Amino acid sequence: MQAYIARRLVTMVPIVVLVGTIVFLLLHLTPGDPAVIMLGPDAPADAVTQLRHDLGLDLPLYVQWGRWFERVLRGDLGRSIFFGLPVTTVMRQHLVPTVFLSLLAILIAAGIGVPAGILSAVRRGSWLDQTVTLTAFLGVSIPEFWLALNLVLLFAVQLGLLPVAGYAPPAQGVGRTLTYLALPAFTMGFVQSALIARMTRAAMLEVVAQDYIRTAHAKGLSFWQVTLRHTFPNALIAVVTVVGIVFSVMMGGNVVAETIFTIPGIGQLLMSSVLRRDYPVIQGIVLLVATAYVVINLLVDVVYAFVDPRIRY
Amino acid sequence: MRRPVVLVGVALILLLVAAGLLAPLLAPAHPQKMNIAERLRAPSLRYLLGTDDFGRDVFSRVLYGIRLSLTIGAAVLLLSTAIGLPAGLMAGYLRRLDNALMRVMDALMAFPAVILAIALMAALGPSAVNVAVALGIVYSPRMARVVRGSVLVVREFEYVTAAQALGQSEGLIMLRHVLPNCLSPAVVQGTFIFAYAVLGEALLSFLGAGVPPHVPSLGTILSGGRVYMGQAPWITIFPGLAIMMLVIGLNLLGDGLRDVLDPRLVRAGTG
Repeated sequence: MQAYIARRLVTMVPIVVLVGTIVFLLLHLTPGDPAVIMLGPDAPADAVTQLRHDLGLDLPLYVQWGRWFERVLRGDLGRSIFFGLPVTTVMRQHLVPTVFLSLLAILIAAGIGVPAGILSAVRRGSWLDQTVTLTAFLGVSIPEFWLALNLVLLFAVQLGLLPVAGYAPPAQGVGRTLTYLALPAFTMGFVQSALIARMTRAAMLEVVAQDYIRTAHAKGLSFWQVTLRHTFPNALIAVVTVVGIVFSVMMGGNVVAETIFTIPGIGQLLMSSVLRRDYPVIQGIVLLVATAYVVINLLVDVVYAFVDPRIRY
Repeated sequence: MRRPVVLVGVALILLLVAAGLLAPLLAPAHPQKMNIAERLRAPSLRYLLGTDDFGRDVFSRVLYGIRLSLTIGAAVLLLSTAIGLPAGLMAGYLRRLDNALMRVMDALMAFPAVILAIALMAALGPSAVNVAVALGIVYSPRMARVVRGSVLVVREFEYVTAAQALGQSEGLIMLRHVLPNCLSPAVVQGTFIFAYAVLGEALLSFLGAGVPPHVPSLGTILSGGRVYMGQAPWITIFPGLAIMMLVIGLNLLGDGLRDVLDPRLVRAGTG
């Protein structure tokens, strides 16, 4: 097990280096001088020269690349041009809302998706299965931001049940935080539950066809004993995979919900940094998100071993 | 075409393609023509889908938005195929290139699609061409993976061994014998990439990181109408429905093509 994790960590290295290189090159894709773009067209020439020097843009590309990597490895992602603070500090300030929102959303997504997938597999072909399949199909086809807008229109504007947008930190009361997070978490959760339901259903159908399930029925176990004790545990690997992937996407990709509901998380920080052309923050977020994505994928693989004792690494 | 729903998908796509192609003929007004006296009018015979806050005809704007969605979807499909197909073919057949090519693809896949697209747009600047470039780069690994996967199967078939035994060149074997037998999964994946691209363009433009705000795109119409949702919901409802119809059509077509072209997958996929 340790050997497997070590091996996986080693194979992660080239991927993370390539990810870092792509992030590094982002700044150099900009048409024109990044320093001028960041400071605006009216910036005085010496300020541009100073920023070019601070960013190391006056050095050869490979030297910049090396220096950038060296700094990143020391945990220094540069300074935000807009906030004047280290990028790591700015990101830390925006991390908590994203974590709460993602946790709530994954609970909703798995809470809807897994039971829906199980039910539609064991009642295959029934009206329930058809409803789940159709809803899941709509879930993958509906634009998330449009769903969010319609939910705001219904629950906040028309019915007045929930706030239109905004965020309250849990220090002001968890109940308040939850009312603010309800709509964004439901939007994200519903859209992602479609994928989870589809994968759970497919995995359950694979297992239902196995001989040992027929044996379990034959030895007189009740239908739900077979489903919950024999079928579902064997479908769990696929379910864990998809829930893990969905969670990693949520942690990094809350852009839609956070922007529409003005939640001061990482996704909103990314969008406002794009509009402010705050490149160090953009680079920091993209790097963090991609690295987290790779790490969560590794964790998902490790969880396999606990879920399925047959897997030996 | 066993399943009638596939025909629904084809019908939806044909309808929207016709709407996009014929937009200049069908649109009752120029999509940019403002008329402040007629702002925020509800749908009526005169304004089929109402007017927006500048008095522009929403129906005309949605037609041009569909046109733009289809154009960008097609461009993204072409670009991601132009990058992903050769990369997948070479990675799958020329094993010495596999590691290098697929590590680059893995690195691109390590970014959530939306985040990478936004970051690329931040670097490239807002324009329709850049949206197509950014989404084309983002989705090319998906094409590469699918093609590589089927090349790995096809390269072991006897007719490939026979061609190798005849002493044909690697390039010729790849193009004449391997590629044609790997096209079905690529076509299916291409349909889904088209759907992702339509959603991606609308999202980027909605967030202000896509096409410039004045260009009529389904995303920009939505973001412009957002403020008026309470009093003029038609500005946001109809472009959203157009996106959904397009994506549903493409997803139905993709599922249908997969059933027809790749019978092995039917078992697990659709029940």
